[in-house]
Amino acid sequence: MSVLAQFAVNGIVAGSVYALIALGFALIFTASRVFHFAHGGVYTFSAFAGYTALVTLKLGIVAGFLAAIIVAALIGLIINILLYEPMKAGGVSPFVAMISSFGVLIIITHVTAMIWGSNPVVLSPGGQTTVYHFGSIYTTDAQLLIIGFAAVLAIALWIFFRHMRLGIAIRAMGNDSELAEVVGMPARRLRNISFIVGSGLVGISAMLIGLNVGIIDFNMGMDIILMATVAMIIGGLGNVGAAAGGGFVLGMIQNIAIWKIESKWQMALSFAILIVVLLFKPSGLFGEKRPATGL
Amino acid sequence: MEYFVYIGTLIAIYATLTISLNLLVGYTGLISIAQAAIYGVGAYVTALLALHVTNDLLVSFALASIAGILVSLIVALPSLRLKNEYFLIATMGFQAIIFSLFMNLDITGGASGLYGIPHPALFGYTIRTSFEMFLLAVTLAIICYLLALRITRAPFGRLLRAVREDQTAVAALGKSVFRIKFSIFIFSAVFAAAAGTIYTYSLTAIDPVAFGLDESVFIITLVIVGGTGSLNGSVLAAAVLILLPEAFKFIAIPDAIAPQLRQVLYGLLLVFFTRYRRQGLIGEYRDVLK
Amino acid sequence: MAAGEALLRLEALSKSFGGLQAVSDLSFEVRAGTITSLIGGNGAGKTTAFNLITGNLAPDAGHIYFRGARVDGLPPHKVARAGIARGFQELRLFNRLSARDNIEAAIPGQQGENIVRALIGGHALTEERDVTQARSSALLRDLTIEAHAESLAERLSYGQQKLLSLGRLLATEGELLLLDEPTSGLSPGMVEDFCARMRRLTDAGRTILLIEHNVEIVMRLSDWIIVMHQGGKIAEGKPDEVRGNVVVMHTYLGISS
Repeated sequence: MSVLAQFAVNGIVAGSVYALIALGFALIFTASRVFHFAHGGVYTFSAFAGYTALVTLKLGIVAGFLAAIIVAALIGLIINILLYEPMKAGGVSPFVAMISSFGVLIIITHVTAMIWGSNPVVLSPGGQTTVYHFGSIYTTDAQLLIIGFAAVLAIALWIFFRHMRLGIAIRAMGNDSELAEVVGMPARRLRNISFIVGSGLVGISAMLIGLNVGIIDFNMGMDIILMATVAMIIGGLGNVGAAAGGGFVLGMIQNIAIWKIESKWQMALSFAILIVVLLFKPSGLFGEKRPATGL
Repeated sequence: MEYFVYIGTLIAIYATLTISLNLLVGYTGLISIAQAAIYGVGAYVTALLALHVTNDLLVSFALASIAGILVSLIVALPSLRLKNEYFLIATMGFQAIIFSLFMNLDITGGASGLYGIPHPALFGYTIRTSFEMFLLAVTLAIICYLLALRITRAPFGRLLRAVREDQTAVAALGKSVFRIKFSIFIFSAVFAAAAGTIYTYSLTAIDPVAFGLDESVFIITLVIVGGTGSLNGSVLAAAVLILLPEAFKFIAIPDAIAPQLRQVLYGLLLVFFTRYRRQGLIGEYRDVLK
Repeated sequence: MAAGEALLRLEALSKSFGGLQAVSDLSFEVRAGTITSLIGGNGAGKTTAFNLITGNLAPDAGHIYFRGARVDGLPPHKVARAGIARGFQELRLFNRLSARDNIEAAIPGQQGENIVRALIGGHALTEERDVTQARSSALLRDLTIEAHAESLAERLSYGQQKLLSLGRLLATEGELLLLDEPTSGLSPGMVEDFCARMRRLTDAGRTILLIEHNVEIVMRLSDWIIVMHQGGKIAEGKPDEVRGNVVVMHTYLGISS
């Protein structure tokens, strides 16, 4: 029983990790309708930026986080301004931007490797990790931070999108950008803000996750963005809260499944869930209705 | 010399893969990123056959193709119901699952893959030299090109492009969209799997990394750079994109970053062509991707 | 099928989307060799009725018979193959195919459309190609757009696109043509041309089911008119009878024209 409980705790941690990434990913999707796969690259790059500030330059934990946030927000903004906005203005569909985004993901990933090398590096705050025991279940301070941050963020974004003008405007724009322009909302600026906020969030997430795992490597953004995609789709597209919920469900399923299935099949299991959801509940577990099929 | 033969073989393999994917992406409007998985199925089936059963080339082609078709149908049947983005993501999901099988099954040798694969035999003659393998790869590419040319110029090719334009209208004209997509999926899978056979026998060792998501994205990059809906473009793109990074060897790029630089180059090309030149090097129309 | 017999018969057809009853208990017949018009305001359920007939939507209740055989439940391409050719209000041409390819894609029974036959090739396919081309050339000539045969459909003028979309329907050799607003957006001269074409088609043995907003055209062209309102049929009859119907004047002629 306690083994299962430990799996559940691990599931909550993993779920929070996916929720964190999916939140920014979904925020950007909501605003721009682009599957911003390059988000995975931003995640990787910002973790290394934080590493440089924290470990190489020894500027402290706050500086580490700030470096990650600022670098992430900047890269996200630049990608939107240089790539997605001109494509949108040229009448190119978000679908092509999605393919383009794969290219950006590849570029950032391998530029990271060129700068920091292709071997993993240790990301540590310097001090000791505190381990908490609850009976036979244990967790660490970094894990508690991840869970807490994910929860606070999910609630904050939910309030933002449901009850605040800017949030409602971003949602409206995602549904119909021309409509938004007509009623006088500065769509381009709203999208830029979404990229800054969404990317900044992934900077924080990258540091939290990096500190929890203890090592970072140039390739880590690839898998995480795939999981965020799965999370966003099983949660429900176009809805930030649903994406976070999807991330949470995914993390739980993966870790509770370890009870019965070897962990090496986690990835395959996740994508199997993705395909089942796409086919039978394309609007996602918590999402608005949106048809994915058409023939 | 050996080096040029090796590069030539790679170009021929990628030309085959690119043409086979272009039929889906450029002609039919099905943006699949599972092509490397089908390619991998062909490669693994060939390797397993050669190690345990037979190195007969024709048997290898036949069984690799059948396996490729079966796996492709598993991908196609559910995915074909989905629209654009969702289709792409579903194929990506299958790509990840199949990669995971290559990586984790005992029979595929896990992360280290399969090695020590014997030379193939064709009508009792053992193909030993890399130059003979090169000829074989080129032959496959030429057959693939000619047959693709044939079907795209036939009334069937007209239907492929009609499906790309508007599948509701195709159905309203009494033509089965499902049958059209199904046919081209199978054709595409046969050549992707056959390319896998050639790859296995050329390298005599395979591992999962050659058949991952990156590889699928690379093949789609080749399709887009060459030009969606252009068979000549596919061949050209395979040649240019394989040769281009080889040029790094002749300028002073340190070995440590050369592979990274190559990936960055491919990423840049994908971004550049989707952003500025969607018709590719010699593609038909700029908005096939829409 | 002899003129005057019911070629298409709808029996108590219903379809709702969520809470909205788009078509309810709709029954009517389309007799062979006639022009039958469906009229009604926006949202009356005309296009939904088309989508039900063509199999693009499945009815919640009711049946559809074509030449006496049930076609409800068949997928769209089988309905089309049975002989029901459907045109779209938004045309849905194959924009980046040539005008000729648009027509040829619609010609039924081509062996070369089978991938295996296409791979084998051979003399039969060459002959077939000649027959197909002759057929498309004849249609393009009849539609007066043969000069644009090799132009992409998207490059044609709107009027030419409408002609091409009609040509695509004719190429299917369907017996029943479903036309959705075929004259909207056309110049008066072209509207006349279209009306004459439709009449010639029924004279040649085809049957037309028409959705049309232009009351004057409907009255002049139709043999039979079915008036829809809120998903149901509220009246039907010959043009004169329908014109005299007060309900019709109110719900359709008065409001939406």
